[in-house]
Amino acid sequence: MIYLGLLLTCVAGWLLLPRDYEWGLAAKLSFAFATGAAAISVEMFVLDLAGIGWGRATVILPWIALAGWRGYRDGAALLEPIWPWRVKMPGLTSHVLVAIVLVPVFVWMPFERAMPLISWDAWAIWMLKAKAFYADGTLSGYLARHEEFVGQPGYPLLIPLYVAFLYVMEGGVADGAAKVISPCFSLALLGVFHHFVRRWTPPVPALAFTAMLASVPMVDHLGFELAGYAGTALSLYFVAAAGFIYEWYREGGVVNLAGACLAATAAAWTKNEGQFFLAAVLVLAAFQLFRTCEKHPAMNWAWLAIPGLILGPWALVRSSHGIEAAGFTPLIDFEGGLFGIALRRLLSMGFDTQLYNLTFLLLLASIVGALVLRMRPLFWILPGLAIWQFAGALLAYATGRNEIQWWLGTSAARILAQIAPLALMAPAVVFGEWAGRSRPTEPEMSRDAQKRNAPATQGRRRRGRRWSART
Amino acid sequence: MPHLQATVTVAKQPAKRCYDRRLRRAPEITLATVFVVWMALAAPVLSTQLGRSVEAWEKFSGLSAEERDLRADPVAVQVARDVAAGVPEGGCVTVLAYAGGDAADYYRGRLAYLLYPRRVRLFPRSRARTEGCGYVATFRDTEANLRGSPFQGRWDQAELDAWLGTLEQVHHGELAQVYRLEGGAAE
Repeated sequence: MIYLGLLLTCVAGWLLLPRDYEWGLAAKLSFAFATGAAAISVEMFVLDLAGIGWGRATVILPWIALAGWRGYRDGAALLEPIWPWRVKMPGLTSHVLVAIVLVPVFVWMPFERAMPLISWDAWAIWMLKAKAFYADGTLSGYLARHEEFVGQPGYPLLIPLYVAFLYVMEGGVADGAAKVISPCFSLALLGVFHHFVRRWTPPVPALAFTAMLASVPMVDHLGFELAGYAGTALSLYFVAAAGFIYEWYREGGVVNLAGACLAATAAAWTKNEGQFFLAAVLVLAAFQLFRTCEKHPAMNWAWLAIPGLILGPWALVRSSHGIEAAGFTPLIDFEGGLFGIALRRLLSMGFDTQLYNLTFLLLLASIVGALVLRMRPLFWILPGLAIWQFAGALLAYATGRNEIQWWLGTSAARILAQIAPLALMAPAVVFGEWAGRSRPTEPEMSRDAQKRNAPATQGRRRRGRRWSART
Repeated sequence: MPHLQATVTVAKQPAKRCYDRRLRRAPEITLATVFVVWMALAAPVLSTQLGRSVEAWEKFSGLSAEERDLRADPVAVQVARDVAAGVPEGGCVTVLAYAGGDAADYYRGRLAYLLYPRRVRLFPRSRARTEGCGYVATFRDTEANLRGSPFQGRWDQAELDAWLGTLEQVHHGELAQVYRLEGGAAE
């Protein structure tokens, strides 16, 4: 039943995704899983606040109703792009690259499926909450007892409530089966990353960048060995929010604005680091809305209120039980010495090729490349968000809440792994720009090349233009 | 003069085009180089992981979820089973553990997870306050674990045995013994 729950997650997410947007099948499935997991966790939270409880029927009924409405409104178009004749078959190079993307998944998957739940944060924090919520049938049982536990009761609830949903579907606690959500988030991360990179680069380089992301050792470690943690889900929502906000600056479109706000909210609903990220995304969105206010209907501002609707009630519930969000306040508890120690450690880890391959080196190279190419200011959104998260981690370490060496030793590698996919987006944009400028102008291109670079979806105009050669 | 100007134009144009043509391939060549280096760096890590995956698969595949848990974390899981056999759901148990400081922190978190919704209080010593808690359990960590994380608390076995002798033993498990305190049944 856990696997049925995963399927329902994808269906729920699919129902929430807009129809009038250019999706590949893999991308839409990835976004569907990401959206479904976040939406179901919010649904569980709302059901609990309303005192309705979490039976199978009560959890599933709203999605059946939504499916009926979407089916009535959209008909068969709701299934796009699931029809096989709409799935474009890539060329040989692309086949090879898809295989390379999947190699790390096949290498890691037997390990993840064979191992029971063994990692500290999984059963001390995330899965403990999930088990407690399911066993109690409500949030308040665990929250009232929070002082008994060594975990972090103030951490956000996306993973615990989503896993509790899977337990409701299963009819019991099955942590070994439920931790499969981590590989699912990993696969969705690859799909979402590829979706955005494909917009900025030609097809083959987009797959190459995705293959590179798929083989970053710490990203795999986080997704498959530390299954049951929230890190991979956070990475996924980082990438989605960064991609959408960048696309919104580049092309506009309320879907991109909404996607950025919702994905950043999901990040904040996943881990406290996500709240720092959400702040940056909201500032970027507000800045652009102010700057181009004449182009935007006032309703667009409403998207910026979404985080408050979800995180506000959680903050109220948390504080009503006397629970702190994290137990420290960055900047206010700042200690310069600790900041230096953390900076040195994070930099030495970040450039360790055994952990992150060339990810952060490529981020630096992309910054140099962007300066050389004199790229448009909007480019700086992507490296800016990665550096913002890096700085946020440093500020947290500089509070000295825990003994610094122990704290860095137990969390720094994971913190960087959460940022790594975000850090790989900037190199992709720079490459796309460089490739675009190096290519001949449209009239000079051969017919084949023009065909290769044409947007994947022809016919009706959709939002989300894919890469094409620019001069 | 017009003738000279034309000559200059014709002479420069092909050189520029040739230069452009070479530069056009630069992004692809750069990305291909980075990709090859990247995969060369990733291959040994993936190879090591493949070995770990095969090892884990051979060790755990075919086992039930309970057997996997026990094989991966034998002490904590067995202690949790022993305690669960004696303490009802919703009950509270004070665990007196002959275990090192780090190990005690580990068992405190692990037992809280494995035994939820029971309340678990764990102390690495032979005496602890038991007010408001209906059950007491004791266990001794394995010698191998104690070598890695030596016991540092106070443990008076004779005093503990004398006290436990006055209590009703509700379960004698493989690793842990569980006793009911007065009022424990009412929980």
